[in-house]
Amino acid sequence: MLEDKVLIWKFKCGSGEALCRIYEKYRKDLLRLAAILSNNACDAEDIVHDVFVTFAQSAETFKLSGNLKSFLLTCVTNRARNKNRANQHRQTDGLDEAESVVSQSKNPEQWMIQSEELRRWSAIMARLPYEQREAVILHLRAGMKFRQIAQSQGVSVNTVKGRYRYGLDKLRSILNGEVEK
Amino acid sequence: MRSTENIEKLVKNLDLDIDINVQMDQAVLSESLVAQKKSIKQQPAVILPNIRRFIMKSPMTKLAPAAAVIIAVLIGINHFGGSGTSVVWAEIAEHFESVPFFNLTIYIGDDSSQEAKKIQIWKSEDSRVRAYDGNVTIYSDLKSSQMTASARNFAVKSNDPIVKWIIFDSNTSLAKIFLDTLGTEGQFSLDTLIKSLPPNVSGITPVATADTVASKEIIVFKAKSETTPEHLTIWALRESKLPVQMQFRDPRNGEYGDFFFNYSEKMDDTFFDPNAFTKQSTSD
Repeated sequence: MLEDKVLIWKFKCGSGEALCRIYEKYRKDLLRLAAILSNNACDAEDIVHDVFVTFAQSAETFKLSGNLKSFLLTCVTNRARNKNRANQHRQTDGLDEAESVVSQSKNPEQWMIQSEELRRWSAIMARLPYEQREAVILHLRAGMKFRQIAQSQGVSVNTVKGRYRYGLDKLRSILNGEVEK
Repeated sequence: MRSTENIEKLVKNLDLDIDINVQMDQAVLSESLVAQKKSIKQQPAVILPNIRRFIMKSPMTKLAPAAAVIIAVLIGINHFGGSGTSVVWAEIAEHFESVPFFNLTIYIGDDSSQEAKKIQIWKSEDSRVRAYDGNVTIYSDLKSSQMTASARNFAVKSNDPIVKWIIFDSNTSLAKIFLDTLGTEGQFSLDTLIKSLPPNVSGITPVATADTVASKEIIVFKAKSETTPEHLTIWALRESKLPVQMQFRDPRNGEYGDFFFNYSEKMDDTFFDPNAFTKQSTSD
């Protein structure tokens, strides 16, 4: 959007109002993506927080050749992937039980209020392997092309297409299983 | 049993609602605003007077009148003896800044947007401005840099020692951002607006056009980004040296911005008076 170009220019000139407007415009999309990728409200809040602070830190040097929304969504995806790896690392260290207790409970510091539907879908998506979840969500919910997803994941387009297909198959069997119950 | 196509449609159309507490906005924004301030070391508004002072003290300034005379002579030769393409962009930008009143209508959108967003801006002879973006009407006085919006602003108190208040102005932002961009330093500047659109514009150059009736009255300028395919086309009147239309295009996603300038409609005083607008709104 042309509006984004003006906002970025003002943001680079130091306008706090432009930064607020960018945050206000995209915060829900980013939180939704972070929530569904991480299946954890606190992690999702942390991810969006970190993405915005890093974005703000880059004000002077920031250069954008494409779309602002895609850029921010990619930042969220990268952070969510790192968080997921870190969580997996912790699980292999034997802390998985303690961690799952924390993620299930409602943290008093948690500020985001998710709808029942979002919570349900986050739980369903969490049953897919992470790479497949990312391919399905980024393509269907964030509207990213396979080429863009491949670039962000550092893999080939065919690999992304394969992950997407397997993800959809798995999702279908999960949902069909739910219906049969 | 659901098919793969059904699953795709289902996931695509899910209504995943989310609500965000004000505390989260505060936490993210207060930290982000501080980070942004730290990142930008130099504020143009602060350094400009110093630059001006520095220039005025410089010995080069003494040579400026002589240089101005030479330039004036060269422009004169070019103007009276040239082929008619002598209008340069700087003249257009300068004339626009000194025009007493105008109305600017902006349409913006892209391939994915069904409808263009429309913004209207009016400037009065005494530098008052009224802008409208479909949701809200904004009033501004360029001389005093005061801006009032007819929609209530939403302010959040910040815990941060540097950023005391975070102002959310959700409805007014689009028109306000354009107004802020155009109205830099108390006057409307086309150069500022152009700088904010395609990245890394090297210059605004006149386009050679065929010798037609229209080309005797209208001059066309082009500005291209050095790094992306984004470009600007500006149409201006030769005689009055005023821009009449500006077009921004990004062929990658069909992004567009159409700017139409009108100098014939002079609005009366009450049109720029926020109190008159409020009175009228309440009486309606």
